[in-house]
Amino acid sequence: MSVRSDAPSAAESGFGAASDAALMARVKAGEREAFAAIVDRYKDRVVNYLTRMTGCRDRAEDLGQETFLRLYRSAGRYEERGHLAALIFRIATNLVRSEERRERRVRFFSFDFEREDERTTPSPQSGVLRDEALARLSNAVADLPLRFRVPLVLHEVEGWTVPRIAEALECREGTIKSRISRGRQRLRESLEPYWKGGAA
Amino acid sequence: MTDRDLSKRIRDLPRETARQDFTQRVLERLEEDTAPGAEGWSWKPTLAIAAAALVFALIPFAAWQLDEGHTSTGDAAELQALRAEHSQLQDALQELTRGLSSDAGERVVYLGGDDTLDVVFDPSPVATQMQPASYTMPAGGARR
Repeated sequence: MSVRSDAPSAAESGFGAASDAALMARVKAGEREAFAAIVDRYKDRVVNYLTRMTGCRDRAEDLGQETFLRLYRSAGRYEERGHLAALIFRIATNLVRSEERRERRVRFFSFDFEREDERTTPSPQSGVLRDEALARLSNAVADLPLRFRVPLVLHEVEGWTVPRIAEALECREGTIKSRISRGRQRLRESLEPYWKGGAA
Repeated sequence: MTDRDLSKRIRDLPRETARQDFTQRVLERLEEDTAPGAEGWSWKPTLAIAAAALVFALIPFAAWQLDEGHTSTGDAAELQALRAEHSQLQDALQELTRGLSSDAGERVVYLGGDDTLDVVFDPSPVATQMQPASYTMPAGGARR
């Protein structure tokens, strides 16, 4: 499966079909327009990925913005190897990891173990989860341990190949295949009672 | 449910798109980050906190150092007193030794007597003539 390409938006159109490498070279030189073009090019993929990772559309939007800000701050150290997408998704993944750690700490110290999860009650206006079946599946994906969730979402949702995920996550392909398989197994186990009930 | 079914369901989840003003908001946050004073605001409190932490960390160390200095001064005074006392004792011993040697001839041991007679023992000739007993190892080297 190939990675889908998004149509260039207004900000990006000024740069035509400029490559990621060309745009990043301009970003390193401090050109905000080139940075805006990169944001336009990747924003939908990043927000979709983060929505599946967190199960929450609003958090995905915030984390997506932070992802691009961190990309800009680290642009000076960027070395062109044709892996800009991998870098952006790695930043996004690290943000999810950091936020989940912070949430666990906050919950532990505030003894707030029964906190209402914001993603279980999505706002109707968001248009994210159209029915209960989708909501259950989306939440089950977001509840997977991070080591299973990242390769599963990149593979199933973003359409990355196993070798590409292995390269981005700096793991062996066998490890990625195993984690995807175990992620699917866990999803089946958590959704089986619901699906057996015929509600899906 | 097979892997294929599960994959299909995951892929059928609706694809999310960023809000219309996403790029604009990123650029605004970037402006806020790089605005004059914004950077200073971020590192100055950090520096102040680090300095305060350093001071708090140094206070016990400084107190310990002062206490160590106080202890050293006390030890020095005590040593000085001991030396003075040692010196006094040394002088007294030398004086006593001199006195003993000057009146060694008059030293006698009173053994008894009555109103008309004193029985004394003068050990001075003995002390000057006595030699330590010789000591030889018995045959075979073993002590019996």
